[in-house]
Amino acid sequence: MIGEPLIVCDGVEYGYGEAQDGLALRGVSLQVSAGEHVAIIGPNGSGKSTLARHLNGLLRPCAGTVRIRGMDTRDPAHTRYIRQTVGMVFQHPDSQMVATVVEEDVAFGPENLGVPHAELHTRVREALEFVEMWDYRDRPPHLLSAGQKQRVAIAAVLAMRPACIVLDEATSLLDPRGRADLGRLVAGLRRQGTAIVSITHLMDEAAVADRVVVLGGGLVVAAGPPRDVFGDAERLAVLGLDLPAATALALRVRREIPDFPVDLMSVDEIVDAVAGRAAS
Amino acid sequence: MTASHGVTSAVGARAATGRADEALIRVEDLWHTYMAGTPFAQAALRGVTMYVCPGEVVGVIGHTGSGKSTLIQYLNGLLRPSRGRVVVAGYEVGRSNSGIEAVRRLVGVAFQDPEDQVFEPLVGDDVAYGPRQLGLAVDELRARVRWAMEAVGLPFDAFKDRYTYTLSGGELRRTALAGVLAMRPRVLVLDEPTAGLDPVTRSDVRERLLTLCRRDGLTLVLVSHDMDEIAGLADRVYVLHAGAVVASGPPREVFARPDALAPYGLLPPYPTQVCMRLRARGIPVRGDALTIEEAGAAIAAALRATR
Repeated sequence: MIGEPLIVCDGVEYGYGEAQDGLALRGVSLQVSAGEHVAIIGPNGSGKSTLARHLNGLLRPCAGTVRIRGMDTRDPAHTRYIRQTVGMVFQHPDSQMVATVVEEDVAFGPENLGVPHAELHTRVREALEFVEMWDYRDRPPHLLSAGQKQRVAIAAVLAMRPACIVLDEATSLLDPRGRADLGRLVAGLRRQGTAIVSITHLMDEAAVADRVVVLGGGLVVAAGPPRDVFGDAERLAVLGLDLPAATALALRVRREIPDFPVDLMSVDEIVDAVAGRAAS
Repeated sequence: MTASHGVTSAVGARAATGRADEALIRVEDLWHTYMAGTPFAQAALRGVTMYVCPGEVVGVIGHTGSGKSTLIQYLNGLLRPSRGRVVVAGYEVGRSNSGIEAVRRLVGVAFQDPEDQVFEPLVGDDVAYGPRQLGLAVDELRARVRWAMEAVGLPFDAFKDRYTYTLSGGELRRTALAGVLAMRPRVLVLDEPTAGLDPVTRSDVRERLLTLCRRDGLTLVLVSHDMDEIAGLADRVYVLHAGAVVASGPPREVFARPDALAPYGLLPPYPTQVCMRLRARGIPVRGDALTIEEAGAAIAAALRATR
């Protein structure tokens, strides 16, 4: 499923306003391939959200380039295509609702693209069914829970048929159940070949990605598969980041049991590792 | 200027945590129905009874829709009971209008998305907004703002003239918190205080909240989805489900009880989950471990014993 590069950032620099605090991005290079799940982690103020806003041209680099399927985000002629290709879901569910009824909210994007009526209906239905919100299509969005609103926000992006969805801390205001629902949804999107870029403070969320990119002070300071990135606990601590809980627990066990494995990423893995050793 | 202002007496009470008869806030059989008397009537609170003692950290957990946000609005008199009672430091909320201002001054609330509560262009002005309404002298106002900002980890001189739109998420959250603290409440009610913060900022904010409790006698009501946060901070926890309290007690006891969380779709802290799963597979580890340290030590001990 992972194929040609969909998003290519090359030496991206960006500063806000008078740049009294210097640049928010100081030369970020990174690629996202079709169908890939990339998690971006880093402390508050490391440039994660600024980078996310570059991925569909909401922000344009001061120096360097961002290309989506080869198209430069600085060229306004490409903006429409780029926004269709890369969809964004933000942290605050409320700020993403534009219509008074769920179904219309999801139809808003494709309608603006001029999608014919019959296809519009199909797209909206498919998108809402995918996020399991079709039964709520007649509801006003403000009566939904935060988790349900985020699912509608994802449906609104899905109805645009994007190749990639960027989730900018989309789970941080959700309760554990809303978070788990969104996690399953992301897994489903990957299975059907949609690339995911998820920006998160939750290391357990980053642990399920194909690749983790660590930002610090506007630069990429580490990148690789979760097991490699989270394998370097000291480095992460210096950067002000946690380990996934499973990895932290495994490291603690290893202090007393020197040959205990530490590249564990989930509750299941750690339970199996302990049970396997206790049985042997 | 010190942080005392009449709250120091609460420090001693902390040792005797959780005695209902010395409560600062008492909620008794509280009911709330939204859109009562219409076809859309929806019960949000169904007979909630809880209490908060001086100097205590009380956690409230429960899913979206469990009634947490409604409950919070009663704690400082934003809502007034039509059925049940809310008593804050002797004032009965809703009996009359007298005392409601005192209640609002005693109980400070930082709602979820505290970013929405930051509205002035400059950080210092934003933190000063609340206390300025109290008609304080300029020196006193400045001293309060300085204290509140330092208490949340925003150095006064470096941040007072910063534009709020240039702040990072963590700095914005601290600014909102400082604005509530500058009112000098005795009770601070926080809805998801560390959601969306990075791990280092999260533990820094938690440490500072604990310091305010232990050193300054602040009382804390903490609404959170983060079970690790509740496990690390709360003296007692209430589990809310469909508008009713379904379990309460110290986190170590509540989280170890299989009937207290799972039926309501809640999960205990990660280390507790791992230990419970191991016990279910016949591995003898303690079931009430709350931290990575406790769970790790328990697992290592169990592994050594099998060799």
